[in-house]
Amino acid sequence: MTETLAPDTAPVVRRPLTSRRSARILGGLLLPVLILILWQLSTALGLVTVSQLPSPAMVWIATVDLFDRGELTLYVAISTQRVLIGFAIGAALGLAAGSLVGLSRAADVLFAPTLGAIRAVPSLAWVPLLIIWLKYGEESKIVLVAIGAFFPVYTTVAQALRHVDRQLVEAGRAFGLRGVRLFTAVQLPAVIPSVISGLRLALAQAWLFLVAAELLGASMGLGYLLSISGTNGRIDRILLAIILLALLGKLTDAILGVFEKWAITKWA
Amino acid sequence: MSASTATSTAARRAAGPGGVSERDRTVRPATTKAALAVEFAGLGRTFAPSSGTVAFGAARPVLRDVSLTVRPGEVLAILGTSGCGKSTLLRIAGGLDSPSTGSVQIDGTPSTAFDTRCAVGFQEPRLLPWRTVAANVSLGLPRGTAREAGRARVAELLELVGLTAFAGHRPAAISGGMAQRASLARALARNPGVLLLDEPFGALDALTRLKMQDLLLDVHAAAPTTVLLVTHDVDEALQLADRIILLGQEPATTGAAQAVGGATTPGATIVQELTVPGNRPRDRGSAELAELRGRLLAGLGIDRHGEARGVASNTGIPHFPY
Repeated sequence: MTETLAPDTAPVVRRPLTSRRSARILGGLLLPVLILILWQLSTALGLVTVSQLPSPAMVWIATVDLFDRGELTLYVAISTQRVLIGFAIGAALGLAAGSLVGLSRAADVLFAPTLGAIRAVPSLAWVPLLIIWLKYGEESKIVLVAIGAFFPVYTTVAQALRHVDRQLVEAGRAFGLRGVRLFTAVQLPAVIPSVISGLRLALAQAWLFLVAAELLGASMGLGYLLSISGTNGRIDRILLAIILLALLGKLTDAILGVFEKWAITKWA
Repeated sequence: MSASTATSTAARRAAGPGGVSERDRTVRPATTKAALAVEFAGLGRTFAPSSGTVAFGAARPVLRDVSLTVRPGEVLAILGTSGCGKSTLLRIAGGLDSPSTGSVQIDGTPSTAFDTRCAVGFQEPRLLPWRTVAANVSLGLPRGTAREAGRARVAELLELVGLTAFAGHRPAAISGGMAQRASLARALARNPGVLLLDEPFGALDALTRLKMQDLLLDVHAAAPTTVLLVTHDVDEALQLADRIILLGQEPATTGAAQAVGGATTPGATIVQELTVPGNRPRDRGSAELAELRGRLLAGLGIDRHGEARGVASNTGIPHFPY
């Protein structure tokens, strides 16, 4: 036939510099290094007072100090744990609710408006209520993080399921697929890329809600470190907490990014 | 196209039109068991007014009084202008839609929703993009097929449509013609008593379409099921079908002289029905077919002379060196 593509000949193509792995990592590090140099210079040359902006070296000393007391590891660990547990619960519930609302018209009519309204509530508004109901324990933080993770997943899944190619669904039905089999064979694979981008949004939101929870009522964690350092005027520790949040957020997102890449080659 | 398909086509080419005295299905009584009869009785379909579209606010009748019996193993082409309800008729036959009035019977029993005795080949390939070609074809296998038997059947079908080398490819990595062949293989995997084809070659380029038509003839010769083929291509209908029905509104345009008097209701019905002479494969350039072609085009409201060529190419009818 006319369309005889040679199936297994992949010609060697020189990849451009920007798509090489090493170049991407080095390029991404360029700006942080530049900021670090400028920061060091501005403090070393006395452009800003050290009491306003501690030098990188001072932040490093604060890091080592906190680490030696064992607080740094504890704070990072407890914050990460809260994010992961809250994210897992919120994402699972979001997946379930999103599937229900996306697949069933009745569920859409019944639940979508209410969930939309709850979604509109700002994160901080939940904090007093959760503290009264669940006290200062772990539950209140995890519930808040779960609320934060729930909505991005719920929204993207419901939207994506509503927009699955109708022709594909009809073809699936025409070949005898129904119910769960139709969902797993056609609808779920079709929405997997959207589900994963929803998960990435949810993870970012989880870190956001974590800091909100820890700022307002916690005795450990990175948000607590921010809050207590703000009271004590320890700018070096504030900077440390911010840098750690940036690194942790980026790291967890990168892990999901790898998963996303794998899923997209598999499903899309 | 695979070597075997090419040779069988060539062999039948050599035999020429009229070279075979009997039809394929009468020669192979053993394999015609699978083919089922389809009977439309007083079928009508009216679409409810939808709030989203700029409708007249009233129900829109699309089909009315369609009564037709399709014999087992017959290839019936359903011709009609765009939007006349040909696809609706096909969808009703396959249980993808239900009639407003009348009924469809397959093999003497009413058609059910997504009837398992039918398989549909859509205008678009509609392959699942995350599955390989082979996995897409296996979607058509009847439920409860044993794993090994299913795999063998898929391999056999891929061989039939000449896609064995591309079994492991994703739909995005193959051409439109190949995707359409995979779609046909998926429909055949269902072992259908009735194969419903909804303009299956409409989106393909003219040359690929001709090859696909030959492939369909090969497939039908190998396993003669009943085929309902919706098309807007008069030449395709003449090339493939035993019988052609023309759907249209009555009173029809001046060309369709067989209009039944007093029919002013909107909605399409059968305005012409003709049996195509000769046996397949037919000579694409035969004078007899050219005469029928003119009649059918006139039935579709197209002037045979002058602008006929221009209009015809707009509706996707390929030109041949007649």
